[in-house]
Amino acid sequence: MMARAPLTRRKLIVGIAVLSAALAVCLLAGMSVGVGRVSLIDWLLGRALSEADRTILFEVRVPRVLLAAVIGGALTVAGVVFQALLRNPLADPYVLGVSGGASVGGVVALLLGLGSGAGWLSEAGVPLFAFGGALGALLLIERIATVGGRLTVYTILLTGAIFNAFSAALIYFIQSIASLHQLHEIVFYLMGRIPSPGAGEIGFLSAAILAGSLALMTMTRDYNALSLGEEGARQLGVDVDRIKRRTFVVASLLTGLAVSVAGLIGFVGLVVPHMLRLILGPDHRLLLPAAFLGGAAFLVLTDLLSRMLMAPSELPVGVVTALIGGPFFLYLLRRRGHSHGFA
Amino acid sequence: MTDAPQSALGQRRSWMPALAALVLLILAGAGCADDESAAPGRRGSLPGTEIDSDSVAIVVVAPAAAEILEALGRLDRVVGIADFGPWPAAIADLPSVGSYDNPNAERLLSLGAELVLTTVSQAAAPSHRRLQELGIEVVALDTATYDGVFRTVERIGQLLDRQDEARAIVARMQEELAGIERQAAGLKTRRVLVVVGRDPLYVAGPGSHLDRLIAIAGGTNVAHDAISAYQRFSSEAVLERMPEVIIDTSDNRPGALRGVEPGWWGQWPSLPAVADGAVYWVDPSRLVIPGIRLPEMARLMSRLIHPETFGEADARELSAIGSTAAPGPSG
Repeated sequence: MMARAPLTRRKLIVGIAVLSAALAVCLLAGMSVGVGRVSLIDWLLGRALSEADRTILFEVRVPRVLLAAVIGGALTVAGVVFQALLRNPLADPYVLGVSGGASVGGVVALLLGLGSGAGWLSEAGVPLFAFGGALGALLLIERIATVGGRLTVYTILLTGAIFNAFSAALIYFIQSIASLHQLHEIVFYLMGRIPSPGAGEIGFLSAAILAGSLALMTMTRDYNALSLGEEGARQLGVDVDRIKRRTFVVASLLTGLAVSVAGLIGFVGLVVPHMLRLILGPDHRLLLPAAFLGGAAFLVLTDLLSRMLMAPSELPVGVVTALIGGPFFLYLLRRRGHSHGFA
Repeated sequence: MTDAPQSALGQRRSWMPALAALVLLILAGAGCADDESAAPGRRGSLPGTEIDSDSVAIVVVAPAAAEILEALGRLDRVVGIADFGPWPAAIADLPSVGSYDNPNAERLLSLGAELVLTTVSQAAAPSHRRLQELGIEVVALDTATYDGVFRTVERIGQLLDRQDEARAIVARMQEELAGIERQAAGLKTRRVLVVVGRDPLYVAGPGSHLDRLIAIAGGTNVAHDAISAYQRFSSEAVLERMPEVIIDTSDNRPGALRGVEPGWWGQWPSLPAVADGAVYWVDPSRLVIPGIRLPEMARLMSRLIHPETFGEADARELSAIGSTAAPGPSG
């Protein structure tokens, strides 16, 4: 199963250092290049900035780039652990139905008009409802998928798929009773976009996503054991049920946070884990931190492209993640497919 | 799988309208007229049809078409509307035939509809064809361009035997638009941004009637280089291009912000429009859907862009058409 050389300390350090550097370069590029001519480099060099430039840089671009980074990290980490937990290469953060719950919550908020008008509710109403929907879905799916006190892979996958289909039907229903204007809002919301949030929001989201990702990183040895199958992992002394439940809850919360703020951004949580697995091998001690760094860099870069490709018009970031991620993944698969962790 | 019985049922069902259409076609004894090829009609009947233009039962699913009927004095022939307006008061209480892009055929038939007035839409084209098969004349109006609007007014006039009135209306519209354009031409142009959606930011770009309205009213559209008429747009570009006037039509819900207020844009005080108190929250019904009110829209636009010349816009002019409770202007 592990065709590549086992993980050495040296490989771990080099891998994480290279990906950290890549993320730093992407962050710098994302903050330096934009439709506005001002660049982060101007600020770093201490050049005088006009008020408009300051606003562009610190209220629009930097928050957006930071948000793209933490969301990319969250989705990719969630993707890796879902793939490990379910031992299914097609698993992505959206497979468990939590995203469906979040979408329904966000769309209900839009239908109720919470996103309009002034006040804190107009800023926070939609994400809060979406996160509420994600939590509701998580509780429901966890309860339904627990059979005889255990979460089984089969029931998790099936419950998630059915819950997502059910959510899609609910959203179609809401769309069919929404006005034309609300319909537009709903479509754009579901398409996914990366907003420019305030400092408080960024701080809270970064802290929550980092905490969740670190919590998952404490279980990397267990994920490695799980690749031998649940029985194999049990024989190695892994408390499989506890690991599964914890992972399921934490990764779902990460996904719920990401979807509430940015909508459904496809491909990041499916393809980036596989790319990294192809390049770095299947050992989760390296793969999981690499997923956070690589996913963050990937979404920062694709968001940069979505801003610049048709400037000053913008493309939905999900379009770019798929257009860039899809071909690149196929290329990697053709070149290195045989050492793939799932092969 | 459980799909099999369902799809069998679906197939059986799909025969029904086709059969009904066939029966109707035979009974009517006439082919469906292609609405593009309709010839100038005999007096008293819709061109190319057997429908009497004095007693025709019309269902109007596009508010823009209802306004044209109103101007031509033919709202009395309307027997049904669609779910979302705004509709002229005289027809607002009529039964609805469902959504604009997919009117309910059974409801149309039970209302005795002979003519459906709608606007050109790719998504709705199949449902329009189906209605034609059922013997209901569908006229899809092109209100996307100024010339389209003028042609549309004349077309409806022709269909309803109001040719002279229609021509007079078009002439008056063109005159008013030209008048505003002439007056604004001498003024200093201001940089204008018209917002149609806020999260993500969507703006009126080149090719939209709003882009043209801005030009007529003496402004330049800061989003004139967007890649299409209504386009997701970079907020960095907005900040850098410093619009002097922002017209935000992004929300049509009851209770949405109206009037001269910075609102959401107040977070960016460096924008000249915010600093000068020139952020207008306008109901989309006032500006967004082109039609017979184009001159009115141009006048409103000119007051928003050049209030010193054309006069301050009245609060009522910024709230929803037909709304009685006008919020007072503030800020």
